[in-house]
Amino acid sequence: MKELLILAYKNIFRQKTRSFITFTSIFLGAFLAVVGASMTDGTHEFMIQSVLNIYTSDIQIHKKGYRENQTLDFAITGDYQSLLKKIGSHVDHPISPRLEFTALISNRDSVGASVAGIDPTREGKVTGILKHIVKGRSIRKGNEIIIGKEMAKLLNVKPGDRVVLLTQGAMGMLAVDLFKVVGIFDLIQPDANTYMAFIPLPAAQHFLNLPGITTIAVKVPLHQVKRVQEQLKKLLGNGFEVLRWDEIMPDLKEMMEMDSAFGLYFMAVLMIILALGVMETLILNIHERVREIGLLMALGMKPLKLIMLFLFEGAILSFTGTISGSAMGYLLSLYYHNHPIYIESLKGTLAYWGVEPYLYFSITSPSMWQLPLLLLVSFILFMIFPVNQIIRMNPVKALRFNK
Amino acid sequence: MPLSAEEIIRKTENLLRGKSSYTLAKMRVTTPLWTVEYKLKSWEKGKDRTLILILSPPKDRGTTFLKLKYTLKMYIPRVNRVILIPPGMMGQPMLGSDFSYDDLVHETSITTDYSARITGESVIDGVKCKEITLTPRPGHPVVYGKLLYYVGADFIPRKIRFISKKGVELKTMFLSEIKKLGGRRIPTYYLVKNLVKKGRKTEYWILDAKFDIPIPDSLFTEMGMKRIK
Repeated sequence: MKELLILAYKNIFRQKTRSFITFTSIFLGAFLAVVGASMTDGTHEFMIQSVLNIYTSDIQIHKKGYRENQTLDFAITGDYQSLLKKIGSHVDHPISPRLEFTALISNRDSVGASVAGIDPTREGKVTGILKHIVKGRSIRKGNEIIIGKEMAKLLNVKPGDRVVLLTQGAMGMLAVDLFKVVGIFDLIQPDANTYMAFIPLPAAQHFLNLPGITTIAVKVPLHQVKRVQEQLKKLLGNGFEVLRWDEIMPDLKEMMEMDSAFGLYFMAVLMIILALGVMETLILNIHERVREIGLLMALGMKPLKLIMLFLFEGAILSFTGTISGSAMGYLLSLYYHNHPIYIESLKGTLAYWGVEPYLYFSITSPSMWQLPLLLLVSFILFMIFPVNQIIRMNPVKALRFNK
Repeated sequence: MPLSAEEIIRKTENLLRGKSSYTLAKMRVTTPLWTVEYKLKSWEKGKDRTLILILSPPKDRGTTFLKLKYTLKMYIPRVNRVILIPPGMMGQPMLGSDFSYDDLVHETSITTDYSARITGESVIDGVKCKEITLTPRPGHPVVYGKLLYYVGADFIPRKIRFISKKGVELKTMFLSEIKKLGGRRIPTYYLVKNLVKKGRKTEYWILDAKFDIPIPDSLFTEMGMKRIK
């Protein structure tokens, strides 16, 4: 066995150019697969995270029935503070309580708005909404409100002005009050600037006469979302809905998946072409060494050992090529993961999703190890053809074989 | 000579509204979780001017709605502000009830916004009714796709079905307890059953009514909204 390995090693170095070409193609294949996967998934993760970071968040918890009805009748009331503590002690991620409702915001002219009562400190750790204030300041306490810049334009208000909030509060009561505009935000997502507004949570509770919340937003790294969702479901039981971002925004997930599918097809085709190329060099290799094989057979080397010899040769090249290629790919991805590439020309297209135009690299994408593994497996599978050639060889004919 | 559908609807409108009218009413909204009750006064003049004043609950007393043609304003004494309800919100429920703002604005201009035709007959509460289908006239800003009126020979509608533009039946209104009020026989109990949000209903009782009374034009202004008690 050891001799076979040494022999395989020697054979590789006997034909340096051919081995180098084989190794390089495997190396490049693995390298491109890893970098490509990292880039595709990294960009998607980044886009998803950017969209979720605006306001949606990665996981939302509601009372059961809220999602379908979206009314205050399905608010979490009672001792929600201890519920927050309970979640906080079980899940090591930032959480933010919200009281969300729709209302008419009016300064004589009126717009329909999606208003959320939030705790600015806690919300700041979960989403980035408060970082995008371009005029004035964030909400603190009392009847203060921040609105998007498009809404400010529609209502013709500036920081310091007062607007009327009108909605149906708890138990069907008419809720009306004045709120002072303290800040105006500008999210990259243009839509959100026309319909979103934020007020302090206690002010919202007082306004609606509802001492509760509708939503608990949780910020979780994307690759942990499923696990944390299960954990929360177990912790909270049947009375609550624990929703993942892709259940809240299925269109976002679909768009990303469609894009990923294209990337994956492209990669798979690339892998197959590559594996075929490597197989071809192996067949050539055997073809060049027919007489050598014949001699070994005539000397009494068992076909199995001969096959092992060629397999070892192929395996050494594929393993070293794949591993070093993936490693290089990983290192490059790691570098660009920390230094994302800015692309000016994509700015406009991505604005709709509220995404900044960065080419972003992932280092946790499962495709980054799946694709090299696929490459390796297909190399080994494709070795069947050259091996088949050896089995069918006749030592006498092989010895007399003329190139 | 039988009356055309348009004529029947016009007679219905005239019967329930007159040239001008005053109404005192109670409205109760019932959902599986809560009930809320309002006492309302309203004045109407012609086809396109309506003022509604909330008398109770005390917290909302003095709140008024003023409808002029297609515009709707709301005055809220607590914040001393007048709000314009935007056209996009007209399909929203008014005061949490199963009436939309649109029901309020368009109730009086049905013959203007809809074309009518007789599409059948049926018996409701033992009364033989003509089924009249109303479809929006092109270019008229309404939220419904179709209305079905079931009108008796006395021109009193017994039932109205509201169907959305997508063909979904949204709610049904039943009119009953026909009494003599303000010199006319009119239905005094309206029941709206919400067919989309199950378990919700809105009831509306007319407690007092007067017809063809003089109402000053100054009532239907922002000043009138703020002053009326």
